[in-house]
Formats: sequence, structure tokens, C-alpha cells
Amino acid sequence: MKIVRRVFYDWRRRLVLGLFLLAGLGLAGRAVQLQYAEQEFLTAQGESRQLRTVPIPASRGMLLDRQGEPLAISTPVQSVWAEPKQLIESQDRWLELARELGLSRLKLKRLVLDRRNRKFVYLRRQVTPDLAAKITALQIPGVGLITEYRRYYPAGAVVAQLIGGTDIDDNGQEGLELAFDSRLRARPGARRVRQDRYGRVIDDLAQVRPPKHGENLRLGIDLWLQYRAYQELQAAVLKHRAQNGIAVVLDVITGEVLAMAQAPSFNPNVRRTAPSDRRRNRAVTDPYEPGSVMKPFTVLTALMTGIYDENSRFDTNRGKWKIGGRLIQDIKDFGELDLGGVLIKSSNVASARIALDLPVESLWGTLDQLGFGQLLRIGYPGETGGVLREPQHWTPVDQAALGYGYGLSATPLHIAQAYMVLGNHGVRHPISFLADPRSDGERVLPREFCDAVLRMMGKITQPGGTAWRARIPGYTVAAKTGTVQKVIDGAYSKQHHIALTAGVVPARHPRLAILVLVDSPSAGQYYGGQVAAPVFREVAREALRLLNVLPDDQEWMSRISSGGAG
Amino acid sequence: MRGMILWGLLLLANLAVAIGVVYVKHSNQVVFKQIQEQRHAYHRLQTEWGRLLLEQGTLAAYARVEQEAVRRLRMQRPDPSKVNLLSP
Repeated sequence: MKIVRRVFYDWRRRLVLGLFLLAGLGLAGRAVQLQYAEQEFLTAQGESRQLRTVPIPASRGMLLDRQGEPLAISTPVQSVWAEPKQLIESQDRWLELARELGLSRLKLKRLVLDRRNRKFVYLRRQVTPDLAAKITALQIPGVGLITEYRRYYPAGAVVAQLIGGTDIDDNGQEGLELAFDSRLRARPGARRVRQDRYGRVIDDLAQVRPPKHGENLRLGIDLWLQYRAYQELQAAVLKHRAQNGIAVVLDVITGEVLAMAQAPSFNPNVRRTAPSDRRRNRAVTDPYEPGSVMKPFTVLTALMTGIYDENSRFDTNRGKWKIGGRLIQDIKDFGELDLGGVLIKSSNVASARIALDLPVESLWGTLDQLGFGQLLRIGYPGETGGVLREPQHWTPVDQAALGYGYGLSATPLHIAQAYMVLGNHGVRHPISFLADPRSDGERVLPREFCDAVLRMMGKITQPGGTAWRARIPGYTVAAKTGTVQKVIDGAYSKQHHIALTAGVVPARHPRLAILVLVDSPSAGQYYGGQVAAPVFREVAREALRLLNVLPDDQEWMSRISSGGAG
Repeated sequence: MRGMILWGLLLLANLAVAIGVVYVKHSNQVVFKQIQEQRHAYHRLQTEWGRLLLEQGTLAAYARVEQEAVRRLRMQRPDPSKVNLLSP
């Protein structure tokens, strides 16, 4: 009985064991299949869900003024993005997402569905930190935040045109932002990471590419001087109901641009709202007919050719002179003038006569050496070279007109540059927007004649000269005014003028070249000496104080000390 | 006998290395967590810095400084005639 039973159970035992064995073999087989046969496919699937290449943000370089004050900064902001494939799976949460983003559900739907095959779509760019925190709190799969940089201009309207601007991706679009874009530009890096299913980074795998931050650039601009120039210009534009005003301040010795202001201006921190004619940096892009501020260069050429010297006398022909059908006039009859008197009274007739007596090549040569009619090669977007015709094409009328600054065109920066060369005793340094440029400079004009012209120009700011309003107590000032008739519909207008004052300070040992231009003053006064010279004076006074230039007017100093100052 | 000892030693070494792997993996996670925290802190500070720059830009704008100096502190530009020059 016992034996029969054992036999009976034995085959059942074998069956169960056999089944276990089969199951074990099945598992082992499956393991082999997964580990070897399908391993590649499965790893790829897993990694496509876990591995991501994420950008390492890099910031665009700062623009600083010469003292280190920031003029343009990139500050980090968050942008909301989504991975369409994942976001489509959680449609039930679209409504709350759309509400936070300030979009309609329909718009969000279109945004996501239109780009369903992409891996990345922006939902909203550059959001406030508050909104960024709310989006994070929603914890919607497929929605994330990415760090971007937004350009901010702390100085606002004061340097707006010169600095220019960037687009939403922080690429330079205008002005210095574009001119120096290759140095300022940042290149984001990339790293491989492992994510969990909520998109949180759980492991760093490798750095694919290191981030490259943009270079910080220190400009020659002095923000305080720039601010003062802007304020004075704005006041003048308002007072004289002018279209706009421009001021340029150059360091005579280094060629640095210390200030380049323009009014009216705009707020560069508000995107694309200002009209384009306010955004343009006219000091570099707009050519003007310079007029009387060119007379010192006519006198300089006259001295260089040796045809005239400082004692030569000129008959101004009762203030009227007709040449080739064109009537050249002075504002009144100045009688007989010496070379300095031509500048002090700003006689058009005498200047035209001098120009006509000069060999054609010599006047052209001086203006060419000073950079007129050529690009300044400063790499500024939209810069214009102005027009200076070759002497072969000059008629006597053209030549006479050039003597008092008509028949050529130049940007305000060109005119300032010419005064800069004059002020540096004939040595020309390339104009530089960056601080501390290194250049040897090139002698383009003889020293003795530059100094002779500077001495004459020092008298223009004395009582009786046209630029007396540009006088600064304590300093010698060499400045020349100009009042130019604007060309309206192809003819010189009697109602529309440009008022200019250009000069160098201190006159004896110049440090600064300054140009002030006010376009279309229409409140009655329009002469350069009335409209532009006071702005010149304020800007020059501030600049001299900033550079710690000692007063050099001997007469003033003796008066001060005899006044019992202690 | 010697074979047994060798096997035993190898087994022990294997065990030690396995525990080592677990330990390294763990410390990797700890350090990674720290670096993530630091990254967040860096980002928070960057944002804060940007905000402070904006604030400084507003408060220290020359227009405002000038206004405060003139209106509140009653400061003024010295008249040139009141300036004394000390020669060096």
C-alpha cells in the first residue's frame, strides 16, 4: 500500500519540478533576450526619455563708461518653454496654464499643435520672477523654464543713440551694440544630463561645450559729462524750439569719444516704441553742410601756402561780393580786416576771397588730411563719409563757397575730428569709442600754423567776437560759431538754419575738442553764437572740471588773486 | 586548500569593491545635490544682482542725484568768482 502511494506521488512531483524548470528557463531566456538581443533598442528608448542636452546660459558682455559705470547690462530672466509631445499628453491642465500665461486656451493649443514635431517651443518669453515661480508650482509635465538674458540700459535716454540696442535673443542690432557685437556676444554652453520623469535633473553626465561669456568693454564715454551734455542740449532744443541737438566731445590727445549726446532722445529700455529718427545716432550717420566752422581751415591753408600771413589785410567789399552769379554776403560791412579779424567777425566775403586765391589742390589737401569726405573707419553701423568733391570738378564758385564751408557735407563727428587735429597741433589720432586706445598718431598738418590759427581763434571768444557766449571764466577758449542755411526743396532757406559752435579748450594747450549743433531753432534766435555757444560753454566747463584742467587765463587769475582771495 | 583561500580572498575583494561602488555612487549623488543647490543659489543671486543694478540705476541716476542735491540739500554750483585757486 505504502509503495503504491509513493509511485503515485512521484510523477506529480516530477511534473511540478519540470514546470518550475521550464519557468526558470523561460525567465533566463527572457533575460538573455532583453540583455543581448534587444539591449540596444531598449537602452536607446530609455535614454531618449532620460537624457537631455540642456544649455548652460552665458551672458552678453557689459558696456561700461570710462569710470566703470554700467551703460548696458544683461540680467537673467526666465522664459517659459514646452516640449510639445509631452504637453499634449496633459491636455487637462492647459486651461490653468493658459490662464497663468495670459493666453487663451485656443492660442496655447495652436502654439503647441503647430509645433508638435519639435522638441522645443517658447510659450512666453522673459517673464517676471513672480510668474516664473507660479509656473514652477504648477508642475505640468513638459513645461519648463529656461534662463535667458535681457539687456538693460541703466543710463536710459542719456546715451541711447550711441549705445544702440539688441534684439530679443541679445544680438546687437544698432549702434555700439552692433559695432562690437563679436566681442560682446555670449555663446551658451551645453551639458548632457539625466532627468527623472518630471523633468528634474538628477545627474550630470558631461559638459558638451563650455559656455563663453561676452567680453566687458570700457568705453571712452564719461557718463556724467554725457549726462550734462544731454541736459544742456535738451534745454536748448526746448528753449529754441529746435528739431534736434547734437553734442560731441573728443579727447584731443587720445582720440577718445568722451561724450556723444543727442536730444530729443528715447527710453532704450522700452522695446521698439521710439520713432526711427530719434533712434539714429545723427552725430555719425547724418551729413550736414558745416558752414562757418570751416573758416579756420581756410585760414590755416592760407598760412600754409605762404600766400598770406597774420598781418595780411582784406577788403570785405562793403559786405557784398558777387561771383559767378552767386551773391556772397556778410551780416554787415566789416571794412578792412586782418586774417584774425576774418575769423573774429566771421566774414564770408573775405573767406571766399582767400579761398579763391589759394591753389585748388592746397585747400582740398587740408580738408582731405582732416578726414573730410571719407569714412572715419570706426566700424560704426550706418556711418557716412560726407561729400568732398575732387578739385578737378571745382568751379570758381565752388572754390569760393568752400572757403566759408558750403558745398561740402560732413557729419558732426567729422567736424569734431577736424577740430581735434587742430587742437592736437596737427597730429591726428584715430577716433576711438573704447577707453585708453593705443595709437601713435600721425602728423597731418604743420604745428606752427595750427598754433597760429588757435591763437586767432582764442580771440573769437573775446568781447566783440561772434563766440563771446562760449567764454568760460578762468580758461582760454578757441571756438568758432556757424549759422548755416538749410537746403529746403533744392534752395537755401532763409527760415531754416543750423546753429553750430565748434572749438577746443583750453586754447593754449588744448585737451578737448567740442562740437555743438542745433538743427532748426525756430523761436526767434538762430545764430550759432546765440543758440549753440551757450551749450558749448556749459559742456566745456563741465569737461574741464572733470579732467582737472587748471585755469590758464592769466588775466583772470591775476584779477582773482588781486581780489584778495585767500 | 590554497585554491580555497584564493577564492575566498577574491570573493572578499569583490564584495569590498561592490560596496565601494555603492558608496561612490551615493557620495556622487550627495555632491550632485550640492552642486544643483549651488547652481540654484547662483541663479538666484544673479537675478538678485540684476534687480539691485536696476534699483541702483534708478536711485543713483544723475538726474535724481542732481535734483536731490539742489532741492533737498540746497546745494549749488559755485560761482567762478568764489573759487579760490591754490597754486601748488
